[in-house]
Amino acid sequence: MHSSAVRLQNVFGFFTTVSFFVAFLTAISVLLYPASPSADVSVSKVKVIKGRPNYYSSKQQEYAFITFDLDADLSSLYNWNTKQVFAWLSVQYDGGENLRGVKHSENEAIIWDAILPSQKTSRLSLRNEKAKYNINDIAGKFLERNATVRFGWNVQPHVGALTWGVIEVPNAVAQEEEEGKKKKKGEGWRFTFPPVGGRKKSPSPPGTSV
Amino acid sequence: MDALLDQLGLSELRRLKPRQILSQVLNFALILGTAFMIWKGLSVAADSPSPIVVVLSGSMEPAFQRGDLLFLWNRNMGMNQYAGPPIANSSQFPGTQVGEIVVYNIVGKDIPIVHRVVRKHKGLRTPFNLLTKGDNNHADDTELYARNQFYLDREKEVIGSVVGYIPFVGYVTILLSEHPWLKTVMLGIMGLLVILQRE
Repeated sequence: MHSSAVRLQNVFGFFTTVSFFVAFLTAISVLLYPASPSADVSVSKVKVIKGRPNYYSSKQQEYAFITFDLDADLSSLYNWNTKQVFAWLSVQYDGGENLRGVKHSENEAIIWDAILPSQKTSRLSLRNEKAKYNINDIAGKFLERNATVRFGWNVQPHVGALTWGVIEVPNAVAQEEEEGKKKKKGEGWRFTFPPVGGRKKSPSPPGTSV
Repeated sequence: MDALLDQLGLSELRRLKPRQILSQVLNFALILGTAFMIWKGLSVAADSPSPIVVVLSGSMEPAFQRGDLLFLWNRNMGMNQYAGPPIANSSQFPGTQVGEIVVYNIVGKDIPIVHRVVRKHKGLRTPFNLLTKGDNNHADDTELYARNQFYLDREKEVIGSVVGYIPFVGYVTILLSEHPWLKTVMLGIMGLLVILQRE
């Protein structure tokens, strides 16, 4: 049969086959580009302040204001199938040791993120950057818990699978710290939430009873 | 009957024998059945009621635009690395990670929403609480949730995490749902083509 309908159908069929094949090859080709991104973070200032979620709310809860330095090089994540890279900085803290009444033992919240559309924007160097999001805890209080910072990214392709990666406190540094060698590096990834308003509860001097 | 078919320009139908018509109808049913089986098969493999979704809003632009097709995965079983960033060493609760893109359905609202997880809170006896935000939105999704709901429940409301992406292919379904009459027309044309085709 050589009617125009049949021809149209064949052309369309061929077009879809070819485009799916090309899309498949493109998606697979990403495997040829191994990436090695790097990042270093240093938290410079943390403040915890009481506030309300919005003007009409009467609920008081704590908000953390974090300032940080970030150096990152994500340029190796870019290849011909990279549409954009989404990068973020998150704060991770547990339930705290010896803290009673804390129900949530695993917490993580993004404090800063960015859409990096091209390789030109993929080298980050931020100094004293204020967190984009002033986070609050689900239970309303940070309770001077210890926290670590994680740097993560998500590569979003033109077609194919999404990929993720994370950089955490360098393991080698953590080991050295355990061995007793005090080293500056790696400390910037860890911090402790200060008490509200920065005031330290002064322990009552010995001998006095209230 | 014959006159009617002639009038409709379908005189070709008259020449088909009943056996031929039956086999064509069977053919049509087979195509529909195959499509349905593939969909349900994917659904079982991904453990998600809807393993493929079409992006309906621009809240994740420029990464996801209206009409793009997303493949979801809703199983953890050690395959979480394909659906989100690696799990922290200290983590006791594998599953959805911060930075992952989830699709959720709020109870009582029927529109699936594709947004990124920006906060995670989990304890031994608490639900897996998530907070989401669209990359292109200024504020997080608290406004989109039900009244007085501040966090999502991972088990109840999330139907999967995005693992794969094909641009634009799903735009047909947006057209179909925005112009319902197109559905009838498409089904009619497809049915006629299958029945009229003689091989």
